[in-house]
Amino acid sequence: MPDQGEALGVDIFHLYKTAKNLREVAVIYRDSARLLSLSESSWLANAGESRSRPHPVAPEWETACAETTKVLEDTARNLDDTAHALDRTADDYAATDQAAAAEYKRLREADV
Amino acid sequence: MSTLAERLDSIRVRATVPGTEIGAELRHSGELTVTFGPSVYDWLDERNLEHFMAILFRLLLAEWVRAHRAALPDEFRAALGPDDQQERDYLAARDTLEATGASADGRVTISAVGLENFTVRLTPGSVRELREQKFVERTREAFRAFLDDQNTKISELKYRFFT
Amino acid sequence: MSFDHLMKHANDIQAKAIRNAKIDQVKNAPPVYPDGIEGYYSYIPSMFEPFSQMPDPASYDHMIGNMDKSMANLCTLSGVDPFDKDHTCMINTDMSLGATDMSDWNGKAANLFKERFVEPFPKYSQNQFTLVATVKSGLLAYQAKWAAARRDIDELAHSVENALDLTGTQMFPDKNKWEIQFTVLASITAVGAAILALGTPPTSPVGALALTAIGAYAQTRAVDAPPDLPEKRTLQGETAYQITNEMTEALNKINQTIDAADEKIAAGFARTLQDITDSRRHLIANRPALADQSSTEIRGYDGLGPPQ
Repeated sequence: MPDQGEALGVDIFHLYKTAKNLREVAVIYRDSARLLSLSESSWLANAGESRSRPHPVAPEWETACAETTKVLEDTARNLDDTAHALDRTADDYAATDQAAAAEYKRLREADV
Repeated sequence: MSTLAERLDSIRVRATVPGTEIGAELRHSGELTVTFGPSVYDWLDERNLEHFMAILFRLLLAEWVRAHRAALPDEFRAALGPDDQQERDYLAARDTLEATGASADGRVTISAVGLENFTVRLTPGSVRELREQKFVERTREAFRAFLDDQNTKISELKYRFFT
Repeated sequence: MSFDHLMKHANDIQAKAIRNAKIDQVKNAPPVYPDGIEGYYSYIPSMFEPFSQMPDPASYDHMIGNMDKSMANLCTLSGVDPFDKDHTCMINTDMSLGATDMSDWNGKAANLFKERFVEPFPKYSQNQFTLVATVKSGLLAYQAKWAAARRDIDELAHSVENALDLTGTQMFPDKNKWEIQFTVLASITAVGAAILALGTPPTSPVGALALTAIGAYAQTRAVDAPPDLPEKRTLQGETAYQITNEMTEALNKINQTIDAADEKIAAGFARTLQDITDSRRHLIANRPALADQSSTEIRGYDGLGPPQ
Protein backbone atom coordinates (compact mmCIF):
# COMPACT_ATOMS: atom_id res chain seq x y z
CA MET A 1 0.00 0.00 0.00
CA PRO A 2 1.64 3.31 -1.06
CA ASP A 3 2.09 5.96 1.63
CA GLN A 4 -0.51 8.64 2.12
CA GLY A 5 -1.04 11.67 4.35
CA GLU A 6 1.72 12.32 6.89
CA ALA A 7 3.80 9.37 5.76
CA LEU A 8 3.66 10.65 2.19
CA GLY A 9 4.60 14.07 3.53
CA VAL A 10 7.77 12.53 4.95
CA ASP A 11 8.50 10.75 1.67
CA ILE A 12 8.22 13.91 -0.44
CA PHE A 13 10.26 15.81 2.13
CA HIS A 14 12.99 13.32 1.38
CA LEU A 15 12.63 14.16 -2.32
CA TYR A 16 13.01 17.80 -1.39
CA LYS A 17 16.16 17.09 0.63
CA THR A 18 17.63 15.11 -2.19
CA ALA A 19 16.85 17.88 -4.66
CA LYS A 20 18.42 20.43 -2.33
CA ASN A 21 21.60 18.38 -2.08
CA LEU A 22 21.71 17.96 -5.88
CA ARG A 23 21.29 21.68 -6.41
CA GLU A 24 24.02 22.57 -3.93
CA VAL A 25 26.42 20.24 -5.67
CA ALA A 26 25.36 21.66 -9.04
CA VAL A 27 26.49 25.09 -7.81
CA ILE A 28 29.91 23.68 -7.03
CA TYR A 29 30.05 22.06 -10.47
CA ARG A 30 29.13 25.30 -12.23
CA ASP A 31 31.79 27.11 -10.24
CA SER A 32 34.32 24.44 -11.18
CA ALA A 33 33.39 24.82 -14.86
CA ARG A 34 33.54 28.62 -14.68
CA LEU A 35 37.05 28.44 -13.28
CA LEU A 36 38.17 26.62 -16.40
CA SER A 37 36.57 29.13 -18.70
CA LEU A 38 39.18 30.87 -20.82
CA SER A 39 37.07 33.98 -21.09
CA GLU A 40 36.97 34.17 -17.29
CA SER A 41 40.02 36.33 -17.40
CA SER A 42 41.82 37.81 -20.33
CA TRP A 43 44.78 35.65 -19.49
CA LEU A 44 45.34 34.56 -23.05
CA ALA A 45 45.89 38.16 -24.02
CA ASN A 46 48.05 38.76 -20.96
CA ALA A 47 50.17 35.75 -21.80
CA GLY A 48 51.46 37.89 -24.60
CA GLU A 49 52.11 37.27 -28.24
CA SER A 50 55.43 36.57 -29.74
CA ARG A 51 55.82 37.49 -33.37
CA SER A 52 56.94 34.07 -34.33
CA ARG A 53 54.55 32.30 -32.00
CA PRO A 54 51.09 33.85 -32.03
CA HIS A 55 49.35 31.14 -30.01
CA PRO A 56 50.36 30.79 -26.37
CA VAL A 57 48.45 27.49 -26.17
CA ALA A 58 47.78 24.76 -28.71
CA PRO A 59 44.26 24.35 -30.14
CA GLU A 60 44.39 20.78 -28.83
CA TRP A 61 44.85 22.09 -25.32
CA GLU A 62 42.02 24.58 -25.73
CA THR A 63 39.73 21.83 -26.96
CA ALA A 64 40.71 19.55 -24.07
CA CYS A 65 39.98 22.40 -21.68
CA ALA A 66 36.62 23.04 -23.39
CA GLU A 67 35.73 19.33 -23.28
CA THR A 68 36.58 19.20 -19.61
CA THR A 69 34.48 22.28 -18.96
CA LYS A 70 31.62 20.59 -20.78
CA VAL A 71 31.89 17.47 -18.57
CA LEU A 72 31.51 19.70 -15.54
CA GLU A 73 28.69 21.75 -17.04
CA ASP A 74 26.85 18.63 -18.17
CA THR A 75 27.14 17.21 -14.67
CA ALA A 76 25.76 20.47 -13.25
CA ARG A 77 22.86 20.37 -15.68
CA ASN A 78 22.07 16.73 -14.89
CA LEU A 79 22.07 17.55 -11.19
CA ASP A 80 19.82 20.58 -11.64
CA ASP A 81 17.41 18.83 -14.00
CA THR A 82 17.11 15.84 -11.68
CA ALA A 83 16.56 18.20 -8.75
CA HIS A 84 13.86 19.99 -10.68
CA ALA A 85 12.10 16.71 -11.50
CA LEU A 86 12.13 15.67 -7.84
CA ASP A 87 10.85 19.05 -6.66
CA ARG A 88 8.08 18.99 -9.24
CA THR A 89 7.10 15.46 -8.18
CA ALA A 90 7.00 16.49 -4.51
CA ASP A 91 4.73 19.42 -5.42
CA ASP A 92 2.54 17.16 -7.59
CA TYR A 93 2.04 14.75 -4.67
CA ALA A 94 1.42 17.62 -2.24
CA ALA A 95 -1.25 19.02 -4.56
CA THR A 96 -3.31 15.82 -4.28
CA ASP A 97 -2.97 15.14 -0.54
CA GLN A 98 -3.55 17.94 1.98
CA ALA A 99 -2.25 16.05 4.99
CA ALA A 100 0.91 15.20 3.06
CA ALA A 101 1.28 18.83 1.99
CA ALA A 102 0.92 20.01 5.61
CA GLU A 103 3.49 17.54 6.91
CA TYR A 104 5.78 18.38 3.98
CA LYS A 105 5.51 22.10 4.80
CA ARG A 106 6.12 21.52 8.51
CA LEU A 107 9.22 19.46 7.84
CA ARG A 108 10.58 22.01 5.39
CA GLU A 109 10.17 24.83 7.84
CA ALA A 110 11.86 22.82 10.59
CA ASP A 111 14.77 22.02 8.31
CA VAL A 112 17.06 25.00 8.54
CA MET B 1 77.28 43.02 -10.86
CA SER B 2 80.56 43.50 -12.69
CA THR B 3 80.93 42.26 -16.21
CA LEU B 4 83.63 39.82 -17.13
CA ALA B 5 85.54 42.69 -18.73
CA GLU B 6 85.55 44.58 -15.44
CA ARG B 7 86.60 41.48 -13.50
CA LEU B 8 89.46 40.83 -15.93
CA ASP B 9 90.59 44.45 -15.75
CA SER B 10 90.94 44.17 -12.01
CA ILE B 11 93.23 41.13 -12.17
CA ARG B 12 96.54 41.73 -10.50
CA VAL B 13 99.10 39.03 -9.75
CA ARG B 14 102.32 39.05 -7.78
CA ALA B 15 105.39 36.88 -7.54
CA THR B 16 108.61 36.89 -5.57
CA VAL B 17 111.81 35.05 -6.36
CA PRO B 18 112.07 32.59 -3.44
CA GLY B 19 114.71 33.52 -0.89
CA THR B 20 115.06 37.05 -2.22
CA GLU B 21 113.42 40.38 -1.95
CA ILE B 22 112.88 40.61 -5.69
CA GLY B 23 109.24 40.85 -6.60
CA ALA B 24 106.90 41.90 -9.33
CA GLU B 25 103.27 42.71 -9.90
CA LEU B 26 101.48 42.33 -13.19
CA ARG B 27 98.11 43.77 -14.10
CA HIS B 28 95.65 42.54 -16.68
CA SER B 29 96.57 45.52 -18.84
CA GLY B 30 100.12 44.22 -19.02
CA GLU B 31 101.50 46.89 -16.74
CA LEU B 32 104.48 45.55 -14.82
CA THR B 33 105.98 46.69 -11.56
CA VAL B 34 109.31 45.31 -10.34
CA THR B 35 110.57 45.92 -6.82
CA PHE B 36 113.82 45.19 -5.07
CA GLY B 37 114.38 45.17 -1.34
CA PRO B 38 116.75 47.81 0.12
CA SER B 39 120.23 47.62 -1.47
CA VAL B 40 119.38 44.33 -3.20
CA TYR B 41 119.87 45.66 -6.72
CA ASP B 42 123.21 47.29 -5.85
CA TRP B 43 124.75 43.99 -4.79
CA LEU B 44 123.62 41.94 -7.77
CA ASP B 45 125.81 41.15 -10.74
CA GLU B 46 124.42 40.75 -14.24
CA ARG B 47 124.39 36.96 -14.38
CA ASN B 48 122.53 36.68 -11.09
CA LEU B 49 120.12 39.44 -12.07
CA GLU B 50 119.37 37.73 -15.40
CA HIS B 51 118.84 34.48 -13.54
CA PHE B 52 116.54 35.96 -10.91
CA MET B 53 114.52 37.94 -13.44
CA ALA B 54 113.93 34.80 -15.49
CA ILE B 55 112.62 33.00 -12.44
CA LEU B 56 110.53 36.01 -11.52
CA PHE B 57 108.84 36.12 -14.92
CA ARG B 58 108.22 32.40 -14.98
CA LEU B 59 106.46 32.57 -11.61
CA LEU B 60 104.64 35.77 -12.50
CA LEU B 61 103.27 34.50 -15.79
CA ALA B 62 102.22 31.21 -14.18
CA GLU B 63 100.21 33.25 -11.70
CA TRP B 64 98.81 35.38 -14.53
CA VAL B 65 97.56 32.33 -16.42
CA ARG B 66 96.14 30.81 -13.24
CA ALA B 67 94.34 34.06 -12.31
CA HIS B 68 92.84 34.37 -15.79
CA ARG B 69 91.66 30.77 -15.78
CA ALA B 70 90.12 31.35 -12.33
CA ALA B 71 88.31 34.43 -13.64
CA LEU B 72 86.68 32.42 -16.38
CA PRO B 73 82.90 32.19 -16.11
CA ASP B 74 81.56 28.72 -15.26
CA GLU B 75 80.51 27.91 -18.82
CA PHE B 76 84.09 28.51 -20.02
CA ARG B 77 85.69 26.59 -17.19
CA ALA B 78 83.40 23.68 -17.97
CA ALA B 79 84.82 23.56 -21.50
CA LEU B 80 88.53 23.65 -20.59
CA GLY B 81 90.69 20.89 -22.01
CA PRO B 82 91.32 19.82 -25.58
CA ASP B 83 88.35 18.27 -27.40
CA ASP B 84 90.02 17.15 -30.59
CA GLN B 85 93.29 16.63 -32.39
CA GLN B 86 93.25 20.09 -33.91
CA GLU B 87 93.16 21.60 -30.45
CA ARG B 88 95.89 19.28 -29.22
CA ASP B 89 98.02 20.34 -32.20
CA TYR B 90 97.39 23.97 -31.31
CA LEU B 91 98.46 23.39 -27.71
CA ALA B 92 101.64 21.65 -28.86
CA ALA B 93 102.47 24.56 -31.16
CA ARG B 94 101.63 27.07 -28.46
CA ASP B 95 103.87 25.42 -25.92
CA THR B 96 106.85 25.80 -28.26
CA LEU B 97 106.01 29.35 -29.27
CA GLU B 98 108.95 31.75 -28.95
CA ALA B 99 108.29 35.35 -28.08
CA THR B 100 110.73 38.15 -27.36
CA GLY B 101 110.86 41.82 -26.49
CA ALA B 102 113.54 44.35 -25.74
CA SER B 103 113.83 47.78 -24.25
CA ALA B 104 114.30 50.62 -26.74
CA ASP B 105 117.97 50.95 -25.88
CA GLY B 106 118.45 47.21 -26.29
CA ARG B 107 119.85 46.75 -22.80
CA VAL B 108 117.15 44.40 -21.53
CA THR B 109 115.77 41.51 -23.59
CA ILE B 110 113.11 39.13 -22.36
CA SER B 111 112.35 35.89 -24.22
CA ALA B 112 110.22 32.88 -23.49
CA VAL B 113 109.31 29.57 -25.01
CA GLY B 114 105.71 28.60 -24.31
CA LEU B 115 105.40 31.26 -21.55
CA GLU B 116 107.42 29.03 -19.21
CA ASN B 117 111.04 28.95 -20.26
CA PHE B 118 112.11 32.51 -19.70
CA THR B 119 115.46 33.98 -20.59
CA VAL B 120 116.50 37.48 -19.64
CA ARG B 121 119.61 39.02 -21.25
CA LEU B 122 121.26 42.23 -20.11
CA THR B 123 123.90 43.90 -22.23
CA PRO B 124 127.23 43.87 -20.40
CA GLY B 125 127.66 46.79 -18.03
CA SER B 126 123.94 47.41 -17.65
CA VAL B 127 123.86 46.81 -13.92
CA ARG B 128 126.75 49.21 -13.34
CA GLU B 129 125.38 51.85 -15.72
CA LEU B 130 121.73 51.74 -14.77
CA ARG B 131 120.46 52.72 -11.38
CA GLU B 132 117.65 50.58 -9.98
CA GLN B 133 114.89 52.91 -11.16
CA LYS B 134 116.24 53.06 -14.72
CA PHE B 135 116.69 49.33 -14.77
CA VAL B 136 113.10 48.83 -13.72
CA GLU B 137 111.93 51.24 -16.47
CA ARG B 138 113.92 49.37 -19.13
CA THR B 139 112.55 46.08 -17.83
CA ARG B 140 108.99 47.35 -18.09
CA GLU B 141 109.63 48.45 -21.68
CA ALA B 142 111.11 45.10 -22.58
CA PHE B 143 108.25 43.26 -20.92
CA ARG B 144 105.66 45.34 -22.79
CA ALA B 145 107.40 44.54 -26.06
CA PHE B 146 107.55 40.86 -25.06
CA LEU B 147 103.82 40.76 -24.23
CA ASP B 148 102.95 42.43 -27.53
CA ASP B 149 105.02 39.86 -29.39
CA GLN B 150 103.47 37.04 -27.37
CA ASN B 151 99.94 38.29 -28.06
CA THR B 152 100.60 38.77 -31.75
CA LYS B 153 102.00 35.28 -32.09
CA ILE B 154 99.17 33.67 -30.11
CA SER B 155 96.69 35.52 -32.35
CA GLU B 156 98.39 34.29 -35.47
CA LEU B 157 98.55 30.78 -34.09
CA LYS B 158 94.86 30.82 -33.15
CA TYR B 159 93.80 32.22 -36.49
CA ARG B 160 95.93 29.61 -38.24
CA PHE B 161 94.40 26.71 -36.30
CA PHE B 162 90.87 27.90 -35.57
CA THR B 163 89.63 30.17 -38.35
CA MET C 1 58.99 39.99 -14.77
CA SER C 2 59.97 41.76 -17.91
CA PHE C 3 62.58 40.43 -20.23
CA ASP C 4 63.69 43.88 -21.36
CA HIS C 5 67.23 43.33 -20.17
CA LEU C 6 67.65 40.91 -23.05
CA MET C 7 67.63 43.79 -25.53
CA LYS C 8 70.33 45.53 -23.51
CA HIS C 9 72.40 42.35 -23.83
CA ALA C 10 71.72 42.34 -27.56
CA ASN C 11 72.91 45.91 -27.94
CA ASP C 12 76.01 45.21 -25.85
CA ILE C 13 76.77 42.14 -27.92
CA GLN C 14 76.44 44.18 -31.10
CA ALA C 15 78.78 46.89 -29.80
CA LYS C 16 81.38 44.39 -28.61
CA ALA C 17 81.17 42.39 -31.82
CA ILE C 18 81.89 45.56 -33.81
CA ARG C 19 84.76 46.50 -31.49
CA ASN C 20 86.30 43.04 -31.73
CA ALA C 21 85.77 42.79 -35.47
CA LYS C 22 87.81 45.95 -36.01
CA ILE C 23 90.65 44.48 -33.97
CA ASP C 24 90.34 41.18 -35.86
CA GLN C 25 90.54 43.09 -39.12
CA VAL C 26 93.76 44.81 -38.10
CA LYS C 27 95.20 41.38 -37.38
CA ASN C 28 94.06 40.21 -40.83
CA ALA C 29 91.66 37.63 -39.49
CA PRO C 30 88.87 36.60 -41.87
CA PRO C 31 86.34 37.51 -43.10
CA VAL C 32 86.31 40.51 -45.33
CA TYR C 33 83.26 42.69 -44.71
CA PRO C 34 82.01 43.90 -48.12
CA ASP C 35 79.31 46.07 -46.50
CA GLY C 36 81.47 47.20 -43.64
CA ILE C 37 81.64 45.97 -40.08
CA GLU C 38 78.79 48.07 -38.63
CA GLY C 39 76.52 47.00 -41.47
CA TYR C 40 77.26 43.34 -40.99
CA TYR C 41 76.52 43.26 -37.24
CA SER C 42 73.39 45.42 -37.43
CA TYR C 43 71.23 42.25 -37.51
CA ILE C 44 71.93 41.36 -33.89
CA PRO C 45 69.24 43.32 -32.01
CA SER C 46 66.48 42.25 -34.41
CA MET C 47 67.57 38.65 -33.94
CA PHE C 48 67.01 38.86 -30.19
CA GLU C 49 63.84 40.93 -30.39
CA PRO C 50 61.29 38.10 -30.81
CA PHE C 51 62.80 36.36 -27.80
CA SER C 52 62.33 39.48 -25.69
CA GLN C 53 58.62 39.21 -26.50
CA MET C 54 58.23 35.69 -25.18
CA PRO C 55 55.31 35.28 -22.76
CA ASP C 56 56.09 35.81 -19.10
CA PRO C 57 55.84 32.42 -17.39
CA ALA C 58 54.07 34.14 -14.50
CA SER C 59 51.22 35.04 -16.84
CA TYR C 60 49.98 31.45 -16.54
CA ASP C 61 49.78 31.66 -12.73
CA HIS C 62 46.25 33.04 -12.62
CA MET C 63 44.78 30.32 -14.79
CA ILE C 64 46.75 27.64 -12.95
CA GLY C 65 45.34 29.03 -9.71
CA ASN C 66 41.83 28.76 -11.15
CA MET C 67 42.43 25.15 -12.06
CA ASP C 68 43.67 24.47 -8.54
CA LYS C 69 40.44 25.94 -7.19
CA SER C 70 38.41 23.82 -9.55
CA MET C 71 40.32 20.75 -8.42
CA ALA C 72 39.73 21.68 -4.79
CA ASN C 73 36.01 21.62 -5.53
CA LEU C 74 36.18 18.19 -7.13
CA CYS C 75 38.38 16.47 -4.58
CA THR C 76 36.42 13.61 -3.05
CA LEU C 77 38.77 10.66 -2.56
CA SER C 78 42.36 11.87 -2.81
CA GLY C 79 43.89 15.33 -2.70
CA VAL C 80 47.13 14.31 -4.40
CA ASP C 81 47.70 16.26 -7.62
CA PRO C 82 49.19 13.57 -9.84
CA PHE C 83 51.10 16.07 -11.98
CA ASP C 84 52.13 18.80 -9.57
CA LYS C 85 54.03 17.74 -6.51
CA ASP C 86 53.70 21.22 -5.03
CA HIS C 87 49.93 21.00 -4.94
CA THR C 88 47.57 19.02 -2.75
CA CYS C 89 43.91 19.47 -1.97
CA MET C 90 41.80 18.76 1.06
CA ILE C 91 38.83 16.47 0.59
CA ASN C 92 35.85 18.67 -0.21
CA THR C 93 33.13 17.51 2.15
CA ASP C 94 30.59 19.72 0.37
CA MET C 95 31.02 17.63 -2.75
CA SER C 96 28.78 14.87 -1.47
CA LEU C 97 25.38 13.43 -2.15
CA GLY C 98 25.20 12.21 1.44
CA ALA C 99 22.13 14.28 2.18
CA THR C 100 20.13 12.43 -0.43
CA ASP C 101 17.60 10.02 0.99
CA MET C 102 15.87 7.92 -1.61
CA SER C 103 15.11 4.94 0.63
CA ASP C 104 11.35 5.48 0.22
CA TRP C 105 11.53 5.33 -3.54
CA ASN C 106 12.23 2.08 -5.31
CA GLY C 107 10.99 2.52 -8.83
CA LYS C 108 13.21 1.56 -11.74
CA ALA C 109 14.62 5.04 -12.38
CA ALA C 110 15.04 5.65 -8.65
CA ASN C 111 17.10 2.50 -8.22
CA LEU C 112 19.25 3.30 -11.24
CA PHE C 113 19.75 6.80 -9.86
CA LYS C 114 20.91 5.44 -6.52
CA GLU C 115 23.10 2.74 -8.05
CA ARG C 116 24.62 4.58 -10.98
CA PHE C 117 24.61 8.20 -9.94
CA VAL C 118 24.58 8.58 -6.17
CA GLU C 119 26.68 5.64 -5.07
CA PRO C 120 29.58 6.13 -7.50
CA PHE C 121 29.40 9.92 -7.28
CA PRO C 122 32.69 10.38 -5.38
CA LYS C 123 34.54 8.34 -7.98
CA TYR C 124 33.21 10.36 -10.90
CA SER C 125 34.14 13.52 -9.11
CA GLN C 126 37.62 12.23 -8.37
CA ASN C 127 38.10 11.25 -12.00
CA GLN C 128 37.04 14.74 -13.00
CA PHE C 129 39.63 16.01 -10.52
CA THR C 130 42.22 13.99 -12.41
CA LEU C 131 40.94 15.31 -15.73
CA VAL C 132 41.26 18.92 -14.58
CA ALA C 133 44.72 18.08 -13.23
CA THR C 134 45.63 16.81 -16.68
CA VAL C 135 44.43 20.01 -18.34
CA LYS C 136 46.30 22.04 -15.73
CA SER C 137 49.46 20.08 -16.48
CA GLY C 138 49.40 21.61 -19.95
CA LEU C 139 49.62 25.06 -18.45
CA LEU C 140 52.46 23.90 -16.22
CA ALA C 141 54.18 22.65 -19.35
CA TYR C 142 53.82 25.98 -21.16
CA GLN C 143 55.00 27.81 -18.09
CA ALA C 144 58.02 25.53 -17.75
CA LYS C 145 58.74 25.91 -21.46
CA TRP C 146 58.84 29.71 -21.39
CA ALA C 147 60.84 29.76 -18.17
CA ALA C 148 63.40 27.38 -19.70
CA ALA C 149 63.52 29.38 -22.94
CA ARG C 150 64.20 32.58 -21.00
CA ARG C 151 66.90 30.85 -19.04
CA ASP C 152 68.54 29.42 -22.16
CA ILE C 153 68.50 32.73 -24.04
CA ASP C 154 69.76 34.62 -21.01
CA GLU C 155 72.66 32.23 -20.51
CA LEU C 156 73.45 32.25 -24.20
CA ALA C 157 73.52 36.06 -24.29
CA HIS C 158 75.74 36.21 -21.19
CA SER C 159 78.13 33.62 -22.56
CA VAL C 160 78.39 35.37 -25.95
CA GLU C 161 79.19 38.64 -24.23
CA ASN C 162 81.75 36.83 -22.11
CA ALA C 163 83.30 35.27 -25.20
CA LEU C 164 83.62 38.69 -26.81
CA ASP C 165 85.15 40.10 -23.63
CA LEU C 166 87.68 37.28 -23.50
CA THR C 167 88.78 37.65 -27.08
CA GLY C 168 88.48 41.42 -27.33
CA THR C 169 91.70 42.99 -26.28
CA GLN C 170 93.87 40.06 -25.54
CA MET C 171 94.53 36.67 -26.92
CA PHE C 172 94.38 34.24 -24.07
CA PRO C 173 96.55 31.20 -24.46
CA ASP C 174 93.64 28.72 -24.34
CA LYS C 175 91.21 28.09 -27.15
CA ASN C 176 88.12 30.20 -26.61
CA LYS C 177 85.19 27.85 -26.04
CA TRP C 178 82.28 27.44 -23.71
CA GLU C 179 79.39 25.16 -22.89
CA ILE C 180 75.72 26.01 -23.17
CA GLN C 181 72.61 24.00 -22.47
CA PHE C 182 69.27 23.67 -24.19
CA THR C 183 66.81 22.96 -21.41
CA VAL C 184 63.41 23.58 -22.99
CA LEU C 185 62.54 19.98 -23.88
CA ALA C 186 63.86 18.68 -20.58
CA SER C 187 61.70 21.24 -18.76
CA ILE C 188 58.45 19.87 -20.12
CA THR C 189 59.28 16.21 -19.85
CA ALA C 190 58.04 15.70 -16.34
CA VAL C 191 54.88 17.51 -17.22
CA GLY C 192 54.67 16.10 -20.72
CA ALA C 193 54.50 12.62 -19.35
CA ALA C 194 51.53 13.70 -17.33
CA ILE C 195 49.71 14.91 -20.36
CA LEU C 196 49.53 11.41 -21.70
CA ALA C 197 48.41 10.05 -18.38
CA LEU C 198 44.67 10.01 -18.74
CA GLY C 199 44.93 6.80 -20.63
CA THR C 200 42.32 4.27 -21.61
CA PRO C 201 41.69 2.16 -18.57
CA PRO C 202 41.72 -1.60 -18.95
CA THR C 203 38.51 -2.75 -20.61
CA SER C 204 36.06 -3.63 -17.89
CA PRO C 205 32.40 -3.07 -17.24
CA VAL C 206 31.36 0.21 -15.75
CA GLY C 207 31.38 -0.22 -12.07
CA ALA C 208 33.17 0.78 -8.95
CA LEU C 209 36.43 -0.87 -9.92
CA ALA C 210 36.61 0.63 -13.37
CA LEU C 211 36.01 4.09 -12.07
CA THR C 212 39.06 4.11 -9.89
CA ALA C 213 41.21 2.96 -12.75
CA ILE C 214 41.76 6.37 -14.25
CA GLY C 215 43.35 7.93 -11.21
CA ALA C 216 45.67 5.02 -10.66
CA TYR C 217 46.58 4.77 -14.34
CA ALA C 218 47.25 8.47 -14.48
CA GLN C 219 49.65 8.29 -11.60
CA THR C 220 51.50 5.36 -13.09
CA ARG C 221 52.06 7.17 -16.34
CA ALA C 222 53.33 10.30 -14.64
CA VAL C 223 55.93 8.37 -12.71
CA ASP C 224 57.08 5.99 -15.42
CA ALA C 225 58.12 8.37 -18.18
CA PRO C 226 61.89 8.80 -18.42
CA PRO C 227 63.00 12.42 -18.14
CA ASP C 228 64.70 14.17 -21.03
CA LEU C 229 68.10 15.52 -20.13
CA PRO C 230 69.20 19.01 -21.12
CA GLU C 231 71.20 19.00 -24.35
CA LYS C 232 74.72 20.37 -24.05
CA ARG C 233 76.72 22.03 -26.77
CA THR C 234 80.20 23.52 -26.86
CA LEU C 235 80.48 26.80 -28.71
CA GLN C 236 83.78 28.27 -29.84
CA GLY C 237 85.25 31.25 -31.58
CA GLU C 238 88.31 33.47 -31.62
CA THR C 239 86.87 36.24 -33.78
CA ALA C 240 83.68 38.30 -33.53
CA TYR C 241 82.56 36.67 -36.76
CA GLN C 242 82.95 33.15 -35.39
CA ILE C 243 81.40 33.94 -32.02
CA THR C 244 78.34 35.61 -33.51
CA ASN C 245 77.88 32.77 -35.99
CA GLU C 246 77.79 30.36 -33.05
CA MET C 247 75.33 32.67 -31.36
CA THR C 248 73.03 32.68 -34.39
CA GLU C 249 73.05 28.89 -34.63
CA ALA C 250 72.31 28.58 -30.93
CA LEU C 251 69.41 31.04 -31.18
CA ASN C 252 68.00 29.01 -34.06
CA LYS C 253 68.34 25.89 -31.98
CA ILE C 254 66.51 27.49 -29.05
CA ASN C 255 63.74 28.43 -31.49
CA GLN C 256 63.60 24.82 -32.66
CA THR C 257 63.34 23.52 -29.10
CA ILE C 258 60.46 25.89 -28.40
CA ASP C 259 58.64 24.66 -31.50
CA ALA C 260 59.40 21.04 -30.61
CA ALA C 261 58.04 21.59 -27.12
CA ASP C 262 54.87 23.08 -28.55
CA GLU C 263 54.44 20.06 -30.81
CA LYS C 264 54.98 17.71 -27.91
CA ILE C 265 52.40 19.46 -25.77
CA ALA C 266 49.91 19.62 -28.65
CA ALA C 267 50.43 15.92 -29.42
CA GLY C 268 49.95 15.11 -25.76
CA PHE C 269 46.65 16.91 -25.68
CA ALA C 270 45.49 15.38 -28.92
CA ARG C 271 45.97 12.12 -27.05
CA THR C 272 44.11 13.49 -24.05
CA LEU C 273 41.18 14.44 -26.28
CA GLN C 274 41.03 10.87 -27.52
CA ASP C 275 41.25 9.63 -23.95
CA ILE C 276 38.38 11.87 -22.88
CA THR C 277 36.27 10.32 -25.63
CA ASP C 278 37.36 6.77 -24.86
CA SER C 279 36.97 7.14 -21.12
CA ARG C 280 33.85 9.21 -21.07
CA ARG C 281 31.84 6.62 -19.16
CA HIS C 282 34.34 7.02 -16.31
CA LEU C 283 34.21 10.78 -16.35
CA ILE C 284 30.51 11.47 -16.18
CA ALA C 285 27.58 9.42 -15.05
CA ASN C 286 24.76 8.88 -17.48
CA ARG C 287 22.05 11.48 -17.20
CA PRO C 288 19.49 10.11 -14.71
CA ALA C 289 16.28 9.04 -16.44
CA LEU C 290 14.43 10.86 -13.66
CA ALA C 291 15.55 14.16 -15.15
CA ASP C 292 13.57 13.60 -18.34
CA GLN C 293 10.51 11.68 -17.16
CA SER C 294 7.07 13.24 -17.35
CA SER C 295 5.02 13.93 -14.20
CA THR C 296 3.00 10.77 -14.76
CA GLU C 297 5.91 8.52 -15.66
CA ILE C 298 8.04 9.62 -12.71
CA ARG C 299 5.28 8.66 -10.25
CA GLY C 300 4.99 5.21 -11.78
CA TYR C 301 7.01 2.02 -11.46
CA ASP C 302 9.37 3.12 -14.22
CA GLY C 303 10.14 6.33 -12.30
CA LEU C 304 10.37 6.83 -8.58
CA GLY C 305 7.83 4.10 -7.92
CA PRO C 306 5.01 4.36 -5.36
CA PRO C 307 6.04 6.22 -2.20
CA GLN C 308 7.01 3.88 0.62
